[in-house]
Amino acid sequence: MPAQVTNYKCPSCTGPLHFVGASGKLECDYCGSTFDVAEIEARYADKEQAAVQAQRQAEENAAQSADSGEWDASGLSTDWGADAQDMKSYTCPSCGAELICDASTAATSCPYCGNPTVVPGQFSGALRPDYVIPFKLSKEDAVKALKKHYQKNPFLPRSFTSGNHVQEIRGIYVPFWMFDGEADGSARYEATRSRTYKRGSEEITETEHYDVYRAGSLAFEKVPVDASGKMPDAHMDSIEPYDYEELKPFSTAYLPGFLADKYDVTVEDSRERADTRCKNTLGTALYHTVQGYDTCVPVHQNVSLKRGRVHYALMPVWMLNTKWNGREFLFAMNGQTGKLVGDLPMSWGKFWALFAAIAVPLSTALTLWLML
Amino acid sequence: MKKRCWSLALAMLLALSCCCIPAAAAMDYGLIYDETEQLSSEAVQKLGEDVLPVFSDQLDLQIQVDVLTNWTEGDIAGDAAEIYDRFNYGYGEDHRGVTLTLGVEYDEAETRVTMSGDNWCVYVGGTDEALTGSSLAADVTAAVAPYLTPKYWGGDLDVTRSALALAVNAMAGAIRNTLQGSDDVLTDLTDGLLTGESADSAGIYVYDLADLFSYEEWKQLEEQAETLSQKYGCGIYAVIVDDYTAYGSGSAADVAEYLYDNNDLGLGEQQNGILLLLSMAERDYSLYVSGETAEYAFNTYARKQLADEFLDEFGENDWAGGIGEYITASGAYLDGAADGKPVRESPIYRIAFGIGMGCFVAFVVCMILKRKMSSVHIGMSAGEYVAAGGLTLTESYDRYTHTTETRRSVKNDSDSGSSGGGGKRSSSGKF
Repeated sequence: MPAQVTNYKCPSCTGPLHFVGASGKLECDYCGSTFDVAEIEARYADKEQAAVQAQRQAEENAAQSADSGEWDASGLSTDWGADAQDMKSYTCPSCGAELICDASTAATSCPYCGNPTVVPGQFSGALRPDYVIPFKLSKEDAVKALKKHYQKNPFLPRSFTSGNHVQEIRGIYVPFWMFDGEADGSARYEATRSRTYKRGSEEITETEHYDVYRAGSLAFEKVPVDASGKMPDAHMDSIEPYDYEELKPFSTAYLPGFLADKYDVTVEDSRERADTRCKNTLGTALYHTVQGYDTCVPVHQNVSLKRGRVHYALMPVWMLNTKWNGREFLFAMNGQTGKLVGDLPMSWGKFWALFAAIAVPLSTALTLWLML
Repeated sequence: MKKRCWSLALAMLLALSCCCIPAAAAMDYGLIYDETEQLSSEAVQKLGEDVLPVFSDQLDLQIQVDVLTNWTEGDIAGDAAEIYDRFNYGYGEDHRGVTLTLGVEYDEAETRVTMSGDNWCVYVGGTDEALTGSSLAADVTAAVAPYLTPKYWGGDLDVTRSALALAVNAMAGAIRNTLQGSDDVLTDLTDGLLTGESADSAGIYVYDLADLFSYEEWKQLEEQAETLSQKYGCGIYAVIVDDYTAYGSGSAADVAEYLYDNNDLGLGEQQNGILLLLSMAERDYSLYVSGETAEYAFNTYARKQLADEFLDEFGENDWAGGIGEYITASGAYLDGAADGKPVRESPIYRIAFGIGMGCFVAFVVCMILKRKMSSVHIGMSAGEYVAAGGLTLTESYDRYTHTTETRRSVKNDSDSGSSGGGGKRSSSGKF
C-alpha cells in the first residue's frame, strides 16, 4: 500500500537526506553524499504522486469506515473533541511508527527513527505552493545570531544570558500569501508657510495657508502575509523582508530536515493585513510629495485597492524558544537573511543605574556651567 | 608765558579804555573772563588758571572762555567773532584759538545768573585753515552743550558754577580728543582736567536735556542723587535727551558709554558710577556701569532687576517718578553691595534647570536603549514591495487660500558684555 508520506533517502546508503541551506543541496546524514534538488525531485516524483493518492484514499476510507464499523467499538470513544479536526495520523515508511501530527503539518521528522518525513499530499493540487525560498542559514547560525542579539543590550539581566537555555530550535517553512495589487487614492492637506519679523516693539508672524491636493497610484508586488495561524504575526512581519531574487519554484525536495506547514489562514482572512499595509504606504508616499511647507496636516484621505494575483510561498524561519524565570521567550530568525527578532526581558535595576550614571555627572556639569 | 602776556595786554586795554568808555566790571580766572564776577569756584579757578593755560601752551592755541553780561540779542556768534578780533585773541601768526562765549543775565538782587535759550557759542578763530576747517567747533559744541541748558543757568548759583566748571572741563577734553590724534606729544594731556575730588565736588547728576522736569522736580532729584552718590562713592547719573543719535553714533548703549567717558563722569579713581540714558524719540533706554564698585553692585541680573523697578513709571509717562525710582533703587542696590549682599539671581533656578536637563537627557538615552529591546512589531507599511516606477501622481495642486497675522509685543532688551579691559557693562531696551 503506498505510503502517504515520503522519506527522502540517500541513493547511496538509504540514509535520511536533509536540505542544507549553505550548499543548496540535499545531504545524507550517514555517508555525507550530496545531491542536487532536481535530481532527488526526479527520483521521487512517482513516489510523491503515489503518496498524494494514498492520502486521498486514506481520507475517503476514514469517512467510509466510520459508517460501516465492522468491529464493535461501541465502548470506545471516538470523540477527540475539538482536537480531532486538527489531527492527522500517518505511518512512517522507515520504521512503521504511527505519526500523529497537526492537520496542517506538511513536513516533520519521525520521533522514533528521526527520518525527515514529507507529506506531499499537503501540497497537492490547489494547495501546491508557487514558490519557496530555501533555507540559507543553519541551526548553528541561528544560535549564534541569538547570542549576538543578547549583546549590546545594557538592560538585559545578567542571569538571562548565563541562565538562559535554548529549549527548542525549529527550522520551519512557514506558509505565506503574497499579494500583488495596486493602491489608488487621493489626499487633501492643509499646509502653512510662516515668516517672522520685528517692527518696532512688535514681533509679527505672517502665516500663508494652502489647500494641497495629491492623487496617485502605487503598484505592489508580493506583499507577504503569513498564512499560518500557529506563527505569531508580529514575529513574521518583523523578520521581513525576504530577498525575492532567491525565490525558487516549489519543490518538496527543499523540505527534508525542516518542518513545514500548509496554510490554515485563508486568503480572505489574510487580505485585510495586506490591504492595511498598502493603504498606509500610499498615504505616506502622497504625504512626502508635499514639500516646501512649515506644517502639513492631512485633512482627508481616500484609498481604493485593485486586487491582483495571490501567490502561495513557503519562507524559511528559525524559531527559537527559551525559558527564563518561568517565562517563555520566543525568537524568530529569517532563515535567508539572518535577521533575528524577539523581545528581551529588562532589568529595571540596570535601567535606573544607567540613568543615574548619566544624570548625575551631566546635571553636575550643567549646573556648574550655569553658575559661572 | 603766553597766558600772562595776553592777560596783561587785556588788562592794559581795559585800563586804556576806562578813560573813554566805562568798562564793565569783570573778573579773570586765568583764561576765563567773567563779567558777572559771581561764577568763581575752586574748580573754575583751577581750570582757568592751570588747565587751560597748559593746554593752550601745548597746543599753541588760545582756549578762552568769556561770560558776558552785555551781548547782542540773537547774535552771540557775531559778538564772539568781534571780541576775538578786537582783543586779538589767538596764538602765533595765524591767531589760532577757540573761544566759548556765554551771554548771561545777572540779577544782582536775586544773586542769580541766568542764560536762556542758545545764548552761547563756540568760535574757532584765526587763519589756520586746518584748524578752522576741522571738526573742532562741532566737537566742542557737542561736549559743552549738556552743561549749558537753561535749567543749570536759572536758579541755584552753586549749580551754575558747577555747570560752568563742567562745561569748561568738557571743552578742554573735547579739544584734547580732537587734536591729540595729530600730535603724539599731546597724548598725555590729562593733567589738570577735573578728576578725583575736584570732579566729585563739581558734579551734576541729573541732566534733563529734554526739559521734562520743572526746576523743583529736577532739584529734588539732583539732591537725592548727589546724597546717595556721595554716600556710596558711586555716581548715580541720569541723562534725558530728545534723541540720543544727536550725541553720538551707534546704539543707545554706545552713546551712553560715550557720554560717560567724554564727560569724565564717575566718582573716585575708578570713576565708579551708573548712568541711565533715556532717549524720548524712540523711547530707548540704556544703563551703563563703570568701575569696580558699580560693576559689583550692578551686574547683568541686577541691571535687569533695576530696570524693572522704574520702567513701569516710564510706561505711564511719569518721568520724575521713574527717575526717582531709579535713584532710590540704585541707592538700595549700592547699600546691599556695601554690606556684601549685592542683588544676585537666586541660584535655585539654575540648579533646578541643570538637574532637570541632566535627568531629561539621561531619560531620553535610556528610553532609546530600552526601545532596542523590543524588536517585534506588526508591519504597517509595504514600502519594500512597491513595484518599479514608484508613485505615479495623477493630479496635484497647491492653492493659496489666505494669510493670517499674529503680533506679539516684545521687550527689545539686549545686554552687551565687557568692552575693553575696563570691566564696563551696559544694558538697553525700550520703555
